[in-house]
Amino acid sequence: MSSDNSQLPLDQRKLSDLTDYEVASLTQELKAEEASKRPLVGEVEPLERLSDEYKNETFLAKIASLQRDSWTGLRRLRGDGDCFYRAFAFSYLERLIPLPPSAAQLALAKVESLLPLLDQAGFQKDIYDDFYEPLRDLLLALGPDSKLPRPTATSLHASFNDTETSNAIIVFLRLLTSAFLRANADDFTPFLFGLEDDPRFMLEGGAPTMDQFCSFHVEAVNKEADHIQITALTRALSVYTRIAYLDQSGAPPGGFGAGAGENGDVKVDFVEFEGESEEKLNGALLYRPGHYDVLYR
Amino acid sequence: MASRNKRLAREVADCQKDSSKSGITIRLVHPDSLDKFVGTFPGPQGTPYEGGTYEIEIEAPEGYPFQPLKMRFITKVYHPNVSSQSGFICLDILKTSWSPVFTLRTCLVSLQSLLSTPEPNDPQDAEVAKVYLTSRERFDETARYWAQVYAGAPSSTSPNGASESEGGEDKQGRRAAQLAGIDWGIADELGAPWVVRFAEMGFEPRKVVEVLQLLNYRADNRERVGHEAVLERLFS
Repeated sequence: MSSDNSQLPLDQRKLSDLTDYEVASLTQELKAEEASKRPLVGEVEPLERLSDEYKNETFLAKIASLQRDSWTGLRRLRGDGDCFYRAFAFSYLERLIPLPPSAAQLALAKVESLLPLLDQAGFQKDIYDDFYEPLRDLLLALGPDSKLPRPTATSLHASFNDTETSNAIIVFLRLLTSAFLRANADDFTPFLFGLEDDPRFMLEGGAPTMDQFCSFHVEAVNKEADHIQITALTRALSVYTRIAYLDQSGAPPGGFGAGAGENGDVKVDFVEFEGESEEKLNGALLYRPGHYDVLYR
Repeated sequence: MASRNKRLAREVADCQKDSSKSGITIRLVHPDSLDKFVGTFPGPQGTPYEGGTYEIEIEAPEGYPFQPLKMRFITKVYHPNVSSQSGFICLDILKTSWSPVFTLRTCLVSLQSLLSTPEPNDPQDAEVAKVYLTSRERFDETARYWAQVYAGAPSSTSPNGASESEGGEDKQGRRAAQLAGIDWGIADELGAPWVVRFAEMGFEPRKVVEVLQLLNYRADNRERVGHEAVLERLFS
């Protein structure tokens, strides 16, 4: 009986009939399917919609506190390991749209000045040029000498939903991050961490070398960015970035019972990167555990 | 798709340019498609694979270079991280640590260096890994022999000067065992000439060893068991 059954696709069989392995692969399939249904970059939506998704009082209080700080909009991004780079790239370019073309020209000059680091890091020029092209073209189109129509939030949204453009920009940012980390290895090496029990780092006492870190955690596809990658990328490009951390931290012990004080007691932590940069712009990224979106006022 | 093909075409051309230097070659399986390739590289020097040429089946997925190349050894190779049966490879850069900066050529170079630095603790072929960890000498000898038979490495003038004819059958027995990837220590103990004799009848050496072990066909016991019993088992 069960042998007839096992011919069916996993999602048409009874959950109780599946082996652990089959349940695991089904979960994986569903996750991948779910992720691929979501656009790479969504439209801006009201921030309050986020409240509908949470029952947790700490989260709800934090969302309310963001709204009081006049953060009103949210642009959701697909939740894969690339979401920090995707969020960063989108907001980096979107913030240039209302600025004078000289801002994009400056940004492009900054990127160009970093290209020698890519060569130093050992990346082949003809390989990284392919990944650089889409970002360079967008910066050029936003610059003063462009003969093309100036990108708008709508056209940028379309560009970022083109898989190839989006992938290329993300890979290019990963390469910049890696090259900057390698070039400033003395500053960053003390902060390297390894995944516990990763056998590759056992011989080195658990911490990867800069080269290993960059290969496995920066250049490899779909690897999430942590504090160190974010620091390196924002510093490399001198782009002021702030991230709102929407997480469990700061919840009063025992939760928000009667008399635990007003919800206003709970604030969202904003972490600023590259705070010395002069241009303090209005955008921010919103972090929820494991995921980044773009936040708007 | 357009940039995928542009890049692959460029990679193949680049590799042809410096193949005389690197010894690495790449050719298209179908002249008008950039989906499948066959790559070759020389076995690394100072390893049992030295002198051999290794052929790799390469498949570029539609999402290349954002998705990893699929690679498999066509040439049989005796190595802890390569299946001795199917040629499947256990190498993280072809899976979770793939990066879009990797190319056909750099991946072939990585496979070449995998041959010099096995990772027996993360094996693809558990049997081979076990031999690697327990008896390096035997591992090296088998790997070298496979390199000669399958990868065209020149037969080494054996270090102790033993020639083919001297103890020829014995040597052949060991070789038959090595070819089948079985422990030649066991084959030897069973009496290599006997293993060869049955193997020459066309039975798979691995099976021959299995049956001889099962029947305890060795030394004084041989006569008692009789070769008919062995054949019967082999045919069953």
